[in-house]
Amino acid sequence: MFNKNLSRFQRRSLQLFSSSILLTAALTVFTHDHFGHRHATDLGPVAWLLALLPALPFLGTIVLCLRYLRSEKDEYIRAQVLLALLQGSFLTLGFTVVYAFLQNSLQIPDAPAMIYVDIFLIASMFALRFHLRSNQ
Amino acid sequence: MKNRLRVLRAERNWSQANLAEHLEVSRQSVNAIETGKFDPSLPLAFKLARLFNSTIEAIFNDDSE
Repeated sequence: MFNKNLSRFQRRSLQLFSSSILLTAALTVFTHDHFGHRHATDLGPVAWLLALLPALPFLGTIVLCLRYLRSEKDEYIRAQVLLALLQGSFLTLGFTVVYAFLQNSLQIPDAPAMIYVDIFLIASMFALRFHLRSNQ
Repeated sequence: MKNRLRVLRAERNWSQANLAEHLEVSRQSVNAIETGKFDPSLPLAFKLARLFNSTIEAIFNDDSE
């Protein structure tokens, strides 16, 4: 499943990273189901907890990223991961600006909050893959 | 930055993977340094110099000079 060129540390980090993203997605679906069936005001303080729940594994993902960057000994790979994360951030910002403009001018509905996380992660992943592939 | 890594590696009949193993980095890193796409940090440059029993200046030369 994983690239055989990866070190044990990189493989372990990737496994933790994937688990954390899957947990974020699962909790988002769970929370969405809860909010979908009941009105948020009926839930009271539980609504706050439910709103925070999917954010926790995503914060964990950020901590994992920082821990990985601090511990990665291969400076070239570290630079590529940083570059990919930056490009992912820029693309997410770009999407946010364009979507906000379209929302205001065309009155289109709100984008689901998790789409920004998805865009960031997918864009970063593709950017990293592209950088590493271009230097095989 | 230009370097003589490819020549030094060829003198020892090492592949990029062999050199990467000696340096404890990925093969992509060796390729990026060799092709001049990535400049190594001082610690890695010193490690390279020690590995080839040479000096940093003998391996790398600055294009701007």
